[in-house]
Amino acid sequence: MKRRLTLLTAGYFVVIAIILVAVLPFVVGVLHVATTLEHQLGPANSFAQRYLGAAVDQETGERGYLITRQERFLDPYVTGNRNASTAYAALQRLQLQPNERAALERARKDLAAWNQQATLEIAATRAGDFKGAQAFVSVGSGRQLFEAFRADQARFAALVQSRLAHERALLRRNASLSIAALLAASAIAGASALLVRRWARGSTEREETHFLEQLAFAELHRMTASLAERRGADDVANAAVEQAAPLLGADIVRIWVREPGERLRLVAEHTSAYFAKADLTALSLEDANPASDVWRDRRPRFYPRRDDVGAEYPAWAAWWEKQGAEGFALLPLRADDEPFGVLLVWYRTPQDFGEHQRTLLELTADNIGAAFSRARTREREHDAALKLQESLLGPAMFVDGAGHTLRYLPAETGFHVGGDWFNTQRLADGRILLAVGDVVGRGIDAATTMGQLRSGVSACAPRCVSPSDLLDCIDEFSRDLPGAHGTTVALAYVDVNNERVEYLCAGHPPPLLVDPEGHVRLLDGALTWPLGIDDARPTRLGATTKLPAGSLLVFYSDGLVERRREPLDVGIDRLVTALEQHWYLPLELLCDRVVRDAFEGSKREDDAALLVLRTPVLSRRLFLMKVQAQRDAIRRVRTQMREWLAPLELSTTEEAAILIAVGEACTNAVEHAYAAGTRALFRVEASLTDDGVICCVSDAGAWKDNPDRFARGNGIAIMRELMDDVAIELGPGGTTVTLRYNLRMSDEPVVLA
Amino acid sequence: MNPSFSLDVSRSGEVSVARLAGDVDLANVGEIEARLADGAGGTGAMVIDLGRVSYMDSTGFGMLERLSAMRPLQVVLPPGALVHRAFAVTGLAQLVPVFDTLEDALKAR
Repeated sequence: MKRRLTLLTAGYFVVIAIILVAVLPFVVGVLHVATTLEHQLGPANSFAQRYLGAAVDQETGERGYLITRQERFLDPYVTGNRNASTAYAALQRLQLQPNERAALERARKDLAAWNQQATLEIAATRAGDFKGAQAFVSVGSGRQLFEAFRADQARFAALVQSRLAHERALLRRNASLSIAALLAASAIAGASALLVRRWARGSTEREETHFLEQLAFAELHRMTASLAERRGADDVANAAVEQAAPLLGADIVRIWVREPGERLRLVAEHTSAYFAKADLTALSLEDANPASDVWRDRRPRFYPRRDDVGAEYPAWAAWWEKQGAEGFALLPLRADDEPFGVLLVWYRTPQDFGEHQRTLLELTADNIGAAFSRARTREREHDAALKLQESLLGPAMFVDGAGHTLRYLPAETGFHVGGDWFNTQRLADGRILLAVGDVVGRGIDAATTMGQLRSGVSACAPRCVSPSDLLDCIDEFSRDLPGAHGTTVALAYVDVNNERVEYLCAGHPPPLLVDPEGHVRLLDGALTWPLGIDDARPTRLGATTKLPAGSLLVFYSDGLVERRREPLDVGIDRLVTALEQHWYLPLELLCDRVVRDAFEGSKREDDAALLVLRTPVLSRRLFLMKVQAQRDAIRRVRTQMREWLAPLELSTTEEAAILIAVGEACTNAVEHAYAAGTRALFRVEASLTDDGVICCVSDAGAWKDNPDRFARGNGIAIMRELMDDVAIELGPGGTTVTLRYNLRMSDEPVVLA
Repeated sequence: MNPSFSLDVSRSGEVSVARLAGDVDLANVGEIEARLADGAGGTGAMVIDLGRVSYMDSTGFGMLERLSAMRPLQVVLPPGALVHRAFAVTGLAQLVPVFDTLEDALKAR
């Protein structure tokens, strides 16, 4: 007995020796890689982010200071500076590879170059040289220096990220090799030392599994952090399926969300290379299918094999057979304890769905739910802020005496409402006030300030005789408005009768003037500092310029012209080019084209405002009348329009066709858009284009008030018969009817119906 | 303001003949309609000659539709008339007989 025991003990040692020899290299490898991950790359990654964040703070502070000249912006600049140094020092202490170190060094040099220049500009600003400092901000030399830093920092971060990914893959491989080696060793030892084998397998597998579990939970944590940065619910769903798949080791991940009509809709899907995308995107909740059942009873389901679920839902068995996956898990998705959908996870191979796997799946579903909840809250806040802004911007008012229209375009990326605002009104002396402004910052606060400033302009305007007066007045008004500091504004007093405009730009990009021949120029004769900056300065003077009949004034906010990685001038040039091409179009069409050209191929990162005004005209290419909506107005329009059409030498039938179609649109404007007795206006425009004539009749009539507006009578049918194209657009500001008439070649007979 | 239209109503036997010329629009359609409705006693058949109308839109065609409900109506509209195409779109030709000349209209009675 004792002898056998000795033999057995000797067996243990042999087995242990074999295991040690087989496994040691892998274990050393695992330990090495794990240590690298923990002590080098993890921190390098986070310090790299901190380095960038601190530099961005620096840049924001510096820009803020140079634009507003307020010392409080220097705080983020100084803090950012300090944090960037700390992050850089921490990065230097880590063991980086030569290429990583070189990239980091380049980024540091870039930042130092930017910093040196920024310090000079700040010093210049303090000494009173605003123009040079402004150039650093607006012309973009500062931005280019900073973008160089950003690019090199990104290269560095990418190198670290790629090594991190590589090391992670290595860790997984070595870990699995360790398991394989252990199992092999255990098998050899099995015959001679049952106890040893049991002990060995039991303990090492536990260790390895534990290790992999930890890794999976760390990944889950990473997914949660990454989802927190997503904006919209759709964005969350797409990112969630992409990230959940590798984390769960799954082949198919789908998110189904409940929508009205008792359905589940597929909102996001990830499939590995082995599987095709789903060929159905909606499921009825009334059907018997596992997703609908999970939705109903809110309980997760786990099917180790395809046959298990197939037996329960025979109607779907063929579909799943075709899909080909085996292990299947379904989990309810909840946002704020309210269920909103179902998470479906398929595995290529059968699964045992042990306790750890189930926990991981449930945690994944919980995290996705929480991310949805945050995204939805943000969307709601954004909608609320947008509504507030719309209400504060007010309806497009029709000022007497000239034609104007405007566009407010909220940012397409991010969820912030901006502080762009307009104001247009006719003053007692007959002049027209135009104002476009931009409040510093975003969100509800900016929108509120915007509304207050807009009201401030309305209140001040009747008491002021010039833009310069008005600016002083709103400057004083804004002194008690904390959010108004640094607001930029462009103001103009348009004198249609004397063909003059007096204007002023307080920190705002200069407006543009297009003369009736299509020549575009910048109104940059009166550039001055923004609101609420310094009350000890002298009065800011406006500039006056000629405004021949039919001139077009174009006011905008920087969101229309500013792009990242691009100096402001490039954007303004783009706007000038668009105006040179489209200047002669009726106002609504002109605005549509300008906006299209401004954002061609890029998303709006900031909100943008555009306000255009054209004075009345009857020139070779242009026609614009602003008329009181009264019955005899139609005849006045017709008389003028006949005069405008005369040089085109149309046949009398062609001329009658245009006059009747325009008359129909005017009749609608007069008869339907205005309640009797109100002092309403409508606008008639016509332009001669290369192909023919475009006419637009716009009124401020609210469509809802007159649901039958065009159903009544034959107005639309007549316009469609006589014109080549008729478009009726109902916007929040009113209704615009656009008529296009192609000028035919003289040898082509006019067909009479 | 100069009148933008001219309208004279005469009789040819039992029939009232109205010759309309110029522009018919929202501003004067009420006056024209009143004169046509009262014209020649206000009842009995009427022929309206639109051959010299230079402008007429849906408000004018609406007036013709209302008149046709009040009294037997015929319209004279030569193929070259300026308002010919617009008239055709309204479908009024299904309610009111249309003739190329005044003689044709009177002969058709």
